[in-house]
Amino acid sequence: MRTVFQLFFTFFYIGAFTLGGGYAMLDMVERAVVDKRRWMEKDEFWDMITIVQMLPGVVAVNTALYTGYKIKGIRGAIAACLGAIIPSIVIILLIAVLFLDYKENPAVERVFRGIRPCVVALILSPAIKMFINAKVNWKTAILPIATVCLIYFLKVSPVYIIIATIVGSIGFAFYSQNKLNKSKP
Amino acid sequence: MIYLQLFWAYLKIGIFGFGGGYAMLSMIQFEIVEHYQWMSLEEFADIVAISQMTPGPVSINMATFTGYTVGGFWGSILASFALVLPSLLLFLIVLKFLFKNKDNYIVKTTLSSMKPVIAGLIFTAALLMMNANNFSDFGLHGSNISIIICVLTFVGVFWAKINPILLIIASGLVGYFVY
Repeated sequence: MRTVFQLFFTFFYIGAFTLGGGYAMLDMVERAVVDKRRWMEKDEFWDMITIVQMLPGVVAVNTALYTGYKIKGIRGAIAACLGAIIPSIVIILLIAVLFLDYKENPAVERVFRGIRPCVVALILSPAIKMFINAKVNWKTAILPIATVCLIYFLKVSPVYIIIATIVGSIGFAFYSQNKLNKSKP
Repeated sequence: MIYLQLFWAYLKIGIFGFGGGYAMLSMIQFEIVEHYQWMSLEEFADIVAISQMTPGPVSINMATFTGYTVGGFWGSILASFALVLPSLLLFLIVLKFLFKNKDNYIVKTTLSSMKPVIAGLIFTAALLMMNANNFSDFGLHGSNISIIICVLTFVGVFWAKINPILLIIASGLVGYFVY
């Protein structure tokens, strides 16, 4: 039972004190899970990160689930997951209550008029990074262009696009593996 | 009814939320703003900014905040719960498989060939937010402060690797003193 509480509080602490989410958090999780608690070796930790990034869902939550499950099974997974999300929920609820009261305030409105164009750029930046990371070339450029057109103009849900992409990507993977095998002497 | 819609919207995002926080953000935007029209794009932009500046995973913050705006206290709990539920279920089935096969050719090729689409997904989120309300002074009295903020933020975060939280604070201060 003690370990279950430790799992909860370790991820609670990480959830309450890491700003910026995602990758800023990994460093802190590594220190807690590998260096402090010794729940896993460094190699296993980074293997875990590679894998949780492949999975759908929130990276921090998946990391908590994996660590918790490894240490204490289902109970550990649930404890770590709750620890990771409860601080967010509590803090955001407090802010949301305040924000909905004050958003008509002229000073607050001025601040957010400045912030909105900043947010657009903050989303644009990871999009461009992902283009570079995906090594988009003239042939594959059709994929992001089609995605933009489908969502922006035709209002197709990203969910359908993701489903189609998963099916297409698995198909492509098998096709290119076959081609690879055939080209081998 | 609204609770059911909220639950369903975030459940879908939890199941198909490949590609990290920003990809999920574009899915949240589609469900909340485009599909159900629960809020405007500028309210959404405000929530993104607050979620970035608050501790914890950004997508959980977004789910809680949008859930609260749409359905009050229980809406926020429901949205966050729906977002993590698929991970909890999927995880046990998929994880063992992935751990064994993480260097497998099929697994790797499948994931890397999803990247161009995810890039398009995130790009669309930014594109949708480039509207007249988020760039409130565009075309008025020759003032283009919002464009300047957007360009400088992009340079700051993309090339100079400045912490996004600092850029949000700086933009807020500019807004406060200029508008």
